[in-house]
Amino acid sequence: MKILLLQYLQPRIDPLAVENTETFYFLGLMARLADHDIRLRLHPESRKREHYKGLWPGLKFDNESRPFRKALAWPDLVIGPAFSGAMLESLAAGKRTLMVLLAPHSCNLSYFRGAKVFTSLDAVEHAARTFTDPDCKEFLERYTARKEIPDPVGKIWAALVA
Amino acid sequence: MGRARRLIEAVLIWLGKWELATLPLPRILLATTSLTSDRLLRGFDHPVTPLVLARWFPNLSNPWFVLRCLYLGVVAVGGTPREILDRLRPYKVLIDGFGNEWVLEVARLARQRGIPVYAIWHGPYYQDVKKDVFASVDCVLSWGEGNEEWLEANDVRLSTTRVGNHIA
Repeated sequence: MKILLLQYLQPRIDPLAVENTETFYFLGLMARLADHDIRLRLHPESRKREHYKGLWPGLKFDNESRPFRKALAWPDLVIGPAFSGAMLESLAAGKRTLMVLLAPHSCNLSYFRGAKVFTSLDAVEHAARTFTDPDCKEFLERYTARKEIPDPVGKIWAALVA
Repeated sequence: MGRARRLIEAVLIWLGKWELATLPLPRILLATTSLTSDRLLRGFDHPVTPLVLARWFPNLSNPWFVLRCLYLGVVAVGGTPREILDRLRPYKVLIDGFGNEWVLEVARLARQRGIPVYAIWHGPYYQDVKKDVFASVDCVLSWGEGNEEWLEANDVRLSTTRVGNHIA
């Protein structure tokens, strides 16, 4: 299975976030899913490639400078932090997507209503291996209004030009 | 890449000055991340002149994208927020980075000058946090119910227009 693993880069607005979670997530998932073809995609503003190479020799990277939309052509499964906008892109593209949210954090869980959020790495591994495909349609609709508004860019320009 | 990018930015700003002299259209300042600017410029086809900050100009490594932008009258601008607003007098301003100091300054100064400020997300917020930027915003462009729920929970009471999600 081809897995695109997104960096667990925590938002600066989260006062409870601790830096170690990023490494815990990465090493935990690599150890659990090492028998699969995994590529790590770093956030475009993160300059941690050397850091990750040191953590996992032989690690394969996705090219973070190309658009995420293009990167989504490769994987069978996308795993990433639940709070990342990339999760919405992955879900919207119809990819199997596992959204991970590890404590501590200050996210209001009610905002994830209609989504399956994985709070332990064991649960992520189980879902990945059993081909669990969480139903996140309601969540996706609440953050994209795709059914209601098929052309968001046109709608934005219309608001700006008016 | 740093030096090459700065050179391209300087050329775009220089070209922008020529473009501005020939484009007597209302100007919209996109004080937005390259992710948002990319999406908006790909779908741009309106009788306005988009102003894009040169250092956040999207896809500079794609010459076809840049040439298409120039052809459509997209103008790259440089300078401080005050210089840009006073010199170019945009009709409206769009922001999408609610914590960025440069963006906060643009929004604050635009508000002082009576220029309407529109705000949109470039990434979702799932944390309940107070964002000072909304004091300078006139209208919020919402992705959908999720954004609107956040606005209500965080006591942001502004005119809101649902536009859908331009990223996903």
